[in-house]
Amino acid sequence: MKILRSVVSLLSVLVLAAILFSMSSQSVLAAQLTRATVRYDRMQANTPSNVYVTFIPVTGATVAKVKLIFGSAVVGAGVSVSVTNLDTGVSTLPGTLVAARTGTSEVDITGVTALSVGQTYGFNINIGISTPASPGSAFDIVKTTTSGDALIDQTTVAVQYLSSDQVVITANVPSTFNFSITGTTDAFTGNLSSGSVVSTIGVGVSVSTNAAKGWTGWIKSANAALSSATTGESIGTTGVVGGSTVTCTSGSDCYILDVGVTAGTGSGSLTAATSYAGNGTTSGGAFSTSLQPFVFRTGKTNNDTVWLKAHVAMIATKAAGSDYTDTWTIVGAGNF
Amino acid sequence: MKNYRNYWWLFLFFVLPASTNYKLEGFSLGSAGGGQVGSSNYSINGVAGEVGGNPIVGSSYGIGPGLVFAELANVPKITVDNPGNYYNKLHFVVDTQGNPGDALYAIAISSDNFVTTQYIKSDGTIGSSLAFTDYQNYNAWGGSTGSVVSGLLGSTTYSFKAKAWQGKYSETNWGPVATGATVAPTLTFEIDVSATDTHTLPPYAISLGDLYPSNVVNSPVYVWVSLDTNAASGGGVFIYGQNGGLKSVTAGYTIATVNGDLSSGGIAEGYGVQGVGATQTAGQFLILSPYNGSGNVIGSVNTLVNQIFTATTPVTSGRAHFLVKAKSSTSTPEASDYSESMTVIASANF
Repeated sequence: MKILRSVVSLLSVLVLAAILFSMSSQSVLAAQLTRATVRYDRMQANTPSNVYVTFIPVTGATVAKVKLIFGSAVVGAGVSVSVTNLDTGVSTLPGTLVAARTGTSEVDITGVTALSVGQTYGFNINIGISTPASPGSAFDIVKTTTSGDALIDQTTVAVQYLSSDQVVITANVPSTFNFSITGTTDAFTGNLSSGSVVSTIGVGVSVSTNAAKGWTGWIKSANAALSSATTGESIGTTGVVGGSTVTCTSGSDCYILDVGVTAGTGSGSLTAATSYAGNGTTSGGAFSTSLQPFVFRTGKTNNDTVWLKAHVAMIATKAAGSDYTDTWTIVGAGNF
Repeated sequence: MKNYRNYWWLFLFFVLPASTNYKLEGFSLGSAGGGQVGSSNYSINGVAGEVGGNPIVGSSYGIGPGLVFAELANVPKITVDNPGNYYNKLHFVVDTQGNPGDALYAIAISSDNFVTTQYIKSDGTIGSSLAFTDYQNYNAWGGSTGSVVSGLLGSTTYSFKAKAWQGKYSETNWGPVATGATVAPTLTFEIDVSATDTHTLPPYAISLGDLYPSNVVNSPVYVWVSLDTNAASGGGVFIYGQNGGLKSVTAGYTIATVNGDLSSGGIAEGYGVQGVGATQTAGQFLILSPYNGSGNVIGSVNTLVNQIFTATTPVTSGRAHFLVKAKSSTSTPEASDYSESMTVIASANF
């Protein structure tokens, strides 16, 4: 048995040497990358495009280069590589990366450092790639190689180019002006008296508009006074139309308009007309039988609100009557 | 088994007695154990004493002195096909040719008809060397169902062959060659813009019409996409915009794209898209969040590439569509030139 083993050992050496000599002449086929993706930001033919590449190496050899061979896309001068805007879960291709073209169909990225098998890596070729002149299909190849250009892994991917890859969406935003008044009557909070200044409850105006230059509100009074048909007497407006505000005092005839504002969201500012910017209780401006501006908005707005109320005082000898009345006309317009 | 591991290389010796570099014309062994004896017509299957020299052949007998010719396993066959339209793998089934269940098989593969040779590893990949662990029994090779070898190149014809051994010194030569071909990787993508599922030609355009404040407007047509790919990890459809919203040059204003519910008062104005449906005849084609909302819930179309539809496996006749929604506010400047160029692209993961 001992002799047998020694003889067998000698033979095995001879045979093994022969086998090794024979196998050394065989070539080794590269492996497929576990996964490779080539995504063009523009699939439209004859269009410059960023190219986003991800891949998963399958061989644990030392990768020094990543190569892209384009089946139809054209590589121009000045290609560059970046590792920004990668998808979640994609690692940056490591190394001091430099992209250079080889001819007009290949981009070589050098400076790649060690990759981990099974890890997803990504990069962008930012400029210098153009899709082919005509729509159609093609095959691009992603390769990893050593520094000596020995092939490690590669995958062929299918890509497609279209006549058009864009949808143009259009819309029109029309001019809008929404104006509303909260009610059609405005009653005094109590009986008119010579001993005090009495005010109406007030009416509200709400406005929304996309008029770039805002909106304006106007008001006119039918009588410029509170008039009683039964008595034939009236309480006339006080002050100068468009002038400064005046203050009603007990015992004197006074009928004025007071305006207050609350701005909605928008641009510009919302202000009451100076002549009507009273104090909310006793001061305001003279009514007019012609339209007078009572508020200004200088930009677009959503839900401006304005209140308008009358303040009244009277002399002690004013005839009694229940039909003292006036009619206001309130309008507004956007300034486009 | 222990003896085998010590002298496993003897199998190589007995099945490869010659190469282009050497040839063993004859050899001798020392005294060894005996073998079998036969009938009166005799066949000696063993060694008695120390003998040497070349085989001796008479009119009615033959002696192969010094060699113990064990019975070889049956040379196996192999069948190859591509039932899945694979671009990177092929399916094969070992034909045992009657070998017993404990016979082990090795499989070689080549893309150049064995000018160069690789071997199918036990994990279904290919390697450049044949290890003992790559010999597997019939069941381990998938039995009658067979197995799949991966990591192949597309559009390539591969040659396969198998050999077997069953016990010591019984390894066969390689069996007959069978071939199979991978297909090319494929990606087909199409865009249509229509109220119904209809093929349309570019240019692709959608007019939303008038956007009144607080009124959500749906596009009168859908954007339809088709996706077909045999990529093992599927693929996807992506969208992105040029302006980040509907932009008016005259007004100097953009109705920004948003994620969220346009019905909500919290979003005064906005623009985006909503996936409506996705179908396929094979694989699975799905709408991704945030584009899979209902009502007036939309996903944004910003300047970054965002995926709207996905397939994680090969997909056949994938067809999906989405619509565009927008709303203005009372503060949106009036203008007639609000627009956005939305790019719709696709890629596959091979």
